[in-house]
Amino acid sequence: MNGYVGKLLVVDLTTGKSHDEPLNETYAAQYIGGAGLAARYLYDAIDARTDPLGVDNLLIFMTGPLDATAAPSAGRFVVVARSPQTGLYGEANAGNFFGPDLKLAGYDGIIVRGKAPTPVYLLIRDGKVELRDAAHLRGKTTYETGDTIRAELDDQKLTVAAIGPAGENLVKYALILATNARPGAKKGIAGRCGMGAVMGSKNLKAIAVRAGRTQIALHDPEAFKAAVRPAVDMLPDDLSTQVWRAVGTSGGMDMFGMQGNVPTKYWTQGAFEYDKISGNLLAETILTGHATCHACMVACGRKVARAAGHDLPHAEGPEYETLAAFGSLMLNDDLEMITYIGSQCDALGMDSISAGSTIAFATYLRAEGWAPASAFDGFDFHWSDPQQALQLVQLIARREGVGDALAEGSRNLGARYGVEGMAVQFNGMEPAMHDPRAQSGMALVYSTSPIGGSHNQSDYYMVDLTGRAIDDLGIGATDRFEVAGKAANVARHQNWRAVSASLVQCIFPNPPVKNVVEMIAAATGYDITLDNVLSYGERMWDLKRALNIKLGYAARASEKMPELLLRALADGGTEGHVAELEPMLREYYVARDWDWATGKPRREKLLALGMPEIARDLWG
Amino acid sequence: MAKVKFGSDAWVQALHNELNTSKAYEDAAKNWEGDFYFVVDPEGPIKEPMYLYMDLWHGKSREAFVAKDKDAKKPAFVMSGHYSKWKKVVSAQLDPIQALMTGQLKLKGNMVMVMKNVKAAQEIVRACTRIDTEFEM
Repeated sequence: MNGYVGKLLVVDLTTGKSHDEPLNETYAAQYIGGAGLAARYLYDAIDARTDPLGVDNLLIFMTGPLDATAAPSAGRFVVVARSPQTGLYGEANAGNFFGPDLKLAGYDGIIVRGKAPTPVYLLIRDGKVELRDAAHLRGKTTYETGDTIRAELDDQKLTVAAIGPAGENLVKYALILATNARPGAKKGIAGRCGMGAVMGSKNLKAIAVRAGRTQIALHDPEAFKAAVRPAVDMLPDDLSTQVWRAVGTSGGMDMFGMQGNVPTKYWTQGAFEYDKISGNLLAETILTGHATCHACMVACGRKVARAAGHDLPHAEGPEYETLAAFGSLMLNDDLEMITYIGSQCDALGMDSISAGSTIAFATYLRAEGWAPASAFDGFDFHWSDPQQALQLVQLIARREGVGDALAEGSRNLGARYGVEGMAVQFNGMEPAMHDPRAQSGMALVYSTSPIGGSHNQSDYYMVDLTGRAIDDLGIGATDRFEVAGKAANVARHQNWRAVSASLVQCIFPNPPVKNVVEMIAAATGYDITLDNVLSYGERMWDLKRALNIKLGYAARASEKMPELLLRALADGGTEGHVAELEPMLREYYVARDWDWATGKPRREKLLALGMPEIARDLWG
Repeated sequence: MAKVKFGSDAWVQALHNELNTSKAYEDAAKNWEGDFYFVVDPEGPIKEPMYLYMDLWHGKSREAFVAKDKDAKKPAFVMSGHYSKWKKVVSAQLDPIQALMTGQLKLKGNMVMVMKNVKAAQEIVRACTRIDTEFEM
């Protein structure tokens, strides 16, 4: 199989046994790799009765055909499982070097099933697979876990994907974090959907992998080089590359703030001194270096050695989402404290978007009197209190006191006080820090995303707010407030990002799509062209929808806007706009050929996409 | 008032004057520090590149002229693109951020300064649209 190793590692933690399994060539040809391929495996394995934190859930790590190649910024990996946070299909996408190292160690992916009787970690090295005791790692942070494993095995070439205390304690939005000892390596965070909790539920503390000498055959090496070259030539001068490198993802803070994109005071305020929590200020003050993932020309990772009087583990600094979630969302403008809190989220092992959002929601509930003073174990919530936010992060990781309720996420917290509708969440997941009132496209992205309120399923805010069109795929720039006529554009963008997540390619750089498509074709030999590449993405998108239907997803009850996002803001860059979801949703269903009543992709569409078995499952 | 030819000395002076009388630009660019080359790359009837120099500093334009050759100044920022792209930007048919994000215009310089002052760029374009501009193509 060109572009692939052609082999998966299947680990049964209940029995402690593992075996190699040939990669399903039919699935790969249809779903390429990464998230698409992993979702196809997951589809076969779980149903509505599967407990996300039970032994029957699978935890799948998957690479793609561009991993471990020279393709720029395509060295990522994905983790999928049924999500304990949403109850739906869960997917998290991460960088660092774990994906390429796993592939070079001889596997396209790992399927983990069952539950170990005691904590273990998985070691893949020199062609051997071993489950090792992890009792001594219990309670260690993500960073400490990786460092300890590397030290005790005297092997600094191990890349380690680990959970922290939050994963062990089944925090619903626990993450998996990958580290290695390469100089300038960027952390890889599989942050969303609670994949760290699934890992914790299986008593799997970490996976350590050492890259071997596995050769990845390419279908047409010369054509591959010819496709890579133009991308590598243009990327250094591309504005996205320059901006992300200079100021990181949070360099957009000032502009996004001006546009009303940065949620503030739990989505109820439109203005804030965003420059005080910006990557631009960070670059001028506490930034100590840059960090990259595999084969990346951007280096968006921020290295910050110290912040707020603390040394940061691995000197890993914050991204935009963290600075907004623990900054403007809770009216904190202390950049150094927010940076430190973000590093603690990573170390303790929880998604900073969901953690910050849930803390901000609790603060809002108390401030507005929705929750009584006796709520939250008497914990007194305040806006603009970073010390309190830090304390709460630590309590969440341990599920201690009020942290236990916050560990369940916003939707469950709201339900506890009878105000579930006040929680800003989509299908159980707190949205990313991009306000749909500043750009209507994200209202559609969040509400139709297969994993809940994720910006990784489509970064359409870049189209609406910065005009980052993709002309080769018919994705034009759109007016940010416009509703009519936008849905088909959003669907195409989602389809393209589904392809990105199958490669597995980062969405920050901006290589020519034509060259990326040529890279896929040259690597795999598949008949993928600019004309048909979106149909691959559409197949993946419909598969994930079908899986959610199988898991019990009720579209009509679920695809709606949170109440707070229906309220216009009096100040700031949203200019009083509110995104009207239903007109866009109606157009979207037409564009996707989905059935409005049931939310299912229509039988004819599934057949046209070459998915007869899925059509049979959905329609009989 | 007669139209002013895009890329001429008169046009650059007109923009210089517009910026120095714009309160909106003064506010948006109050922290801006850095001179610029706006480079118009040859295209169609435009056979030679144009180098429009502007020294922008704390909300004011201190100096503006058309440089005869690119070595006349060593500006902190260089923004370049083909004539047709500049025409679209100057006539507000193409957002400058979109032009940069999609590679229709290129920018070199300190990105921290750029990202802190995006609004200033928008005000410059607004000032451009107030000039009654004549284009060659």
